[in-house]
Amino acid sequence: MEYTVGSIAPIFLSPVIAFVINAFLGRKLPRHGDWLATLSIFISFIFSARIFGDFLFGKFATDYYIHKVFTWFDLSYGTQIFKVDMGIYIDNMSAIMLLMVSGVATLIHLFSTWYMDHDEKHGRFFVFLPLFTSAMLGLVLSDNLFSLFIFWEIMGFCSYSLIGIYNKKEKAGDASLKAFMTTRVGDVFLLLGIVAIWMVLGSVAYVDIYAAIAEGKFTGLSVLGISFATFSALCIFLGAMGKSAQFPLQVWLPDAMMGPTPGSALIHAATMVTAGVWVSLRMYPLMVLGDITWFIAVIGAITAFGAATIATVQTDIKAVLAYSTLSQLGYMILGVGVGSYNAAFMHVITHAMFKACLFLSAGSIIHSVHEQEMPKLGGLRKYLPYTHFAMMCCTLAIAGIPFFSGFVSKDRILGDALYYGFMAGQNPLLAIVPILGFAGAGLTAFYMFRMMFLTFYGENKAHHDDHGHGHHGDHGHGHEIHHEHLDARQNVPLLILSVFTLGFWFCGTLTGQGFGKVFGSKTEWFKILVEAPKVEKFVNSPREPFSKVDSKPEAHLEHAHYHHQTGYAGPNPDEHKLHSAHTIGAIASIIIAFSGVFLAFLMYIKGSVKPWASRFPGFTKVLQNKYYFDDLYIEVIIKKGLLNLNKGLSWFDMGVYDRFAVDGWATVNRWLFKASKWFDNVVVDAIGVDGTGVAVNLFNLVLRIVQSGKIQFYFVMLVMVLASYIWTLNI
Amino acid sequence: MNGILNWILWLPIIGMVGVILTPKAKENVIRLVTLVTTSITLLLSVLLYLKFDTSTPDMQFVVKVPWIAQFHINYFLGIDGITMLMTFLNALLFFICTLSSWTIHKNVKAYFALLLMLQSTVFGVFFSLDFFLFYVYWEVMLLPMFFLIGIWGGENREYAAIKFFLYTFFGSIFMLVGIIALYYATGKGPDSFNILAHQGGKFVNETVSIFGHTFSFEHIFFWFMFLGFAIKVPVFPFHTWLPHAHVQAPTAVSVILAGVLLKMGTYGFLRIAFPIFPKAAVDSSTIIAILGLISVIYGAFCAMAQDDVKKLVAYSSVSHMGFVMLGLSAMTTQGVNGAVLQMFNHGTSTAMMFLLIGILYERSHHRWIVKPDGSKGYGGLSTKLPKYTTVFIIGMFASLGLPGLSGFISEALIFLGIYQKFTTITVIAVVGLLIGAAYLLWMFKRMFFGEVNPETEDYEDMNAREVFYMLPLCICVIVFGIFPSPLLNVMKASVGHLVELMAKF
Repeated sequence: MEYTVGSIAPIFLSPVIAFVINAFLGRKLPRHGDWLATLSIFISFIFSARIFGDFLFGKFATDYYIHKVFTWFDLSYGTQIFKVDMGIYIDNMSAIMLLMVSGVATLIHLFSTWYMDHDEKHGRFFVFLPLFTSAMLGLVLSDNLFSLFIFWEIMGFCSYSLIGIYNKKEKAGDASLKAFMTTRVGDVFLLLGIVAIWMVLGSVAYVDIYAAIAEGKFTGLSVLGISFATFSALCIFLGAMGKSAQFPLQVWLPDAMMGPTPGSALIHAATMVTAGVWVSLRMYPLMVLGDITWFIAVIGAITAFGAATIATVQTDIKAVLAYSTLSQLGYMILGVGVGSYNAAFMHVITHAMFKACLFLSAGSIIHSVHEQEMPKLGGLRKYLPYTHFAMMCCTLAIAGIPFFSGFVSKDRILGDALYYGFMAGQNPLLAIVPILGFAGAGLTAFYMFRMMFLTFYGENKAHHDDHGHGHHGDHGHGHEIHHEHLDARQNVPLLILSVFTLGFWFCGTLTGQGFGKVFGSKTEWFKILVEAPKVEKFVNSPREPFSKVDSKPEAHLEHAHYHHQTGYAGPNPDEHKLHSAHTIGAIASIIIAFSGVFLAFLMYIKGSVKPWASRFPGFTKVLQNKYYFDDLYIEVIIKKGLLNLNKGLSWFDMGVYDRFAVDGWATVNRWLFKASKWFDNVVVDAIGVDGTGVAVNLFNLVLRIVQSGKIQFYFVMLVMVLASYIWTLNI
Repeated sequence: MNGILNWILWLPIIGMVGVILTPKAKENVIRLVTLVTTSITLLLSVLLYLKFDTSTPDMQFVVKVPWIAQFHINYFLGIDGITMLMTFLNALLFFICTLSSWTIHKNVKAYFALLLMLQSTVFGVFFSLDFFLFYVYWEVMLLPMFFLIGIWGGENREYAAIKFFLYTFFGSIFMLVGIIALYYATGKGPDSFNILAHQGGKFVNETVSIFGHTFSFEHIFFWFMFLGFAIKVPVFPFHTWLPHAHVQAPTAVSVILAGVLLKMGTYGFLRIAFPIFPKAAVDSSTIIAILGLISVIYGAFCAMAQDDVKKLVAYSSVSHMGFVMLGLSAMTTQGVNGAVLQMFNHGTSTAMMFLLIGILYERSHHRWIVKPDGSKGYGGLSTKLPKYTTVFIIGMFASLGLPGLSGFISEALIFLGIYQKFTTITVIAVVGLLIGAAYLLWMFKRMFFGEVNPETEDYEDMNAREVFYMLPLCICVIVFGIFPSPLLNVMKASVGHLVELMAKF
């Protein structure tokens, strides 16, 4: 099969074109060109769907990919060769990712056309939304870390613009600054890692890095006292931590909800935050080689658990979702760390679906009720039935209830984590990874249902009684609580996304048969398509321009089947133990999830258990203050540390260095001038030695000119320096 | 075609004569004469670019006429790829500055005459291939700068002007000593002032005796030259004239100062200090890199502390020129190409920042982000000035190195270059990128976000003239951010030649 650039480029280019048109002409277009933006992403979706279809239906090979290369610029001269090549690289994983990004983004765009109606920032919003999506699509299409970094940063800029879109709010400015700067901390390390790899290997293309790993080019090198593989892997992972908001760079994500809710949906679901997981997955062989997977797993576990605890006390519906995103991202990173490659990527996809839907639902609520504090909501199920349905599906998914997508992916991650922590013979301290993972899963079920119960169930606490009663029709025709308009632009995205919260889309049936069987394989399609890159495969596949699709149909089928009943990509799995870990994990996570739901039910529906806040007021306060990380970073490190350092340096520069070391010469001159004048008047005149007076007078003259700053000074100095030069060099 | 350099060099002087001959009262005629002159110069430099042969590192469009024959001093002009970019930048920025100076009302005639004179001298520095000529232009350039800052500057203009003058002059004396040393070292022969003839490490084995001690000729005079150029760049610790000069200078002069004059320093390294003293340069590269690193970090930290937005951008120039020094010290293909590209890109992005600050200053008559009494100087500007905000965002993100805008490629290349030689320095220098983003975005946040400050209520958005002169810079910043090849192709042969030369030592 031959892919031309023309059949791939529109995925990236059509949103870019929409961005350019909307940026320049948006104001003149009807509806500020929101239809154009939506259409452009839909075009991306169609082209992505075609590629996905080819990969899914056409050939079932694990090493099926498209690779094309262009030279961006070339610095070669003579014997020095340096070219910067950009390329498109599509393998099974990116085919799935492209479909997800463009699909979810299309729905978010469609929803936004409804949500942003009559908003003063409507036009600007639809400038950045397509750019954001195109950057993510470009990132997924990239065949090398350098272009990945470019799109990575453009996404950072887009999120900066979207978070700060309500520019009259001081808080929006703070939040956008915080988001950009926190991710930038990771970004500079990512750039450092890219630079290091580029200069050592001569390329940053994925295929070249894989080949280099297989050929052992990383061995024996060291940077700053640690092995080169560890250094580069760590740098790249630090970048991922910033973008995917992992502990301790998690502080920006909750604030990122200052922007419009559909923007949050895009940031939290389809784009931006998944980029960090994406690069960790792409560079997984390097992470293994650099032996930092344990670090990744621990960071992921801390994030997954810590964010879940904070989410239990949030009252803002978007804040709950923001922390749930953090927590779920923690699971993805944890998955990467414990070698659950397949499931970690599946969690990216399933999470994108249900998290986009959750945010859009939250958007529906906010847009209809104009309230986002959960204690002031309640009983909305009657008024917003579609939203309720969609949100319930997603909550079931994220809570890890069987038959829903979140269960499929998260359970596998946890199963692998269990194996990793207890059975793989690792450091016993790493048992913390599965423990935090399972605890976080229980909390997830709890806080998500807490949100559902507070929002949709119980008494309606919105202030509608001022205007009388009796408006509560079946579909919420109450006027105060702006009833759910039956607007397709709102409902259709929600319903489509909620369909994809079902688990069987991702795993066939629960038994691993069924859906997969349709296409003639016993194994689930996701497991066949996605597996950790096998670096040896890339040794003899150099990065050549316009390579054809490497189609080895059927050849790898059996291999793929063996490979991954589980998707585990860690070191030498003991299949038997792994299998039992998954069984235990599945049972445990079902029990834990249901207990979480039950606890939420007891607390917020039945009221028989007192909520956390009244039980542990001290700990609740800690959680409400997000473990004081914001205070630590902003109040202590930045305000007390960095700003004072800056002030001190600036004062030193102008007040000390410039004042004394530079301008001090003028003062010295002035003293010399005075001294020589005194010498002139007192010593010379008084004593009356005329001969020396001439020399002193000359000196005097020079100093006077120096001090007065006249241009003639130039010529005198010239003569003096020339004279001294000739004198010292004896020329 | 050979005369084209003469035209570019002398056209501003012709324009200056035109301005001088125009009666003082006819201010618009004076402005028009200047505008026409700078436009023709810009067109000629575009023509030069089109005619430029990118395949060779040799000097092109060479003009060589004996000037002072008994000392073998020639009127010797020529350009290579590096100069080509600087020529274009210079022509572009002066064209833009003419338009931005439309609002100057104090002694218009003298102002534009000096501006044109300045343009000619800057071209002269870039074109000269004869040391004497180079030095003459280098020094004469100080004159119009001195008066432009000293007469049309802010409150403390005289201090700043004198400081600028003396500081630069202090450096150029050392450079002059170096030039004279070279003159004697080559035996006062026919090529003794020829810059090109000295290149290629001809003095590696020369020694020089000072007070009876013998020193390596290269190592002594490399540092003489270094001092002259480092002050111009400016490299830490020779940077303190820059904030004063920038804060006091009128907008157009700040633009020229940051946009092209600072590049004369790094150009001096590329054309003179490195190729003539390659051994010394290679031996001292660690020191240059460390000074560059300090400039990057120290400049960025100082920038963050500033409450005066112009001073902030001035310190950011120190930081960004530090990147250029880092790239130069690497002496690798990526590093030097990145450094030259950064010279161009910093020229466009910083020019944008200074012009934008100038536009704002014309409305507010102050430049405080936070006033000395602690109140906000601006605030909520993005609501009142949408066009201005858009251009500001482009300039700011180009300056902090956002991919897709011009600054990124040059910074990335510099990092690639420096990593090969100084890994530890690279690791520390990335902090500069972080702080670089921090001070710009923090400034932006304080000036543009939030409720509209009542004081800024009656500000007008950019007018047509302002949009017109910002447009070419916006285009440069975006187009060269996405397609850097037009710039890189021009310079890569010249840079490659230099890198090859340096690699031998």
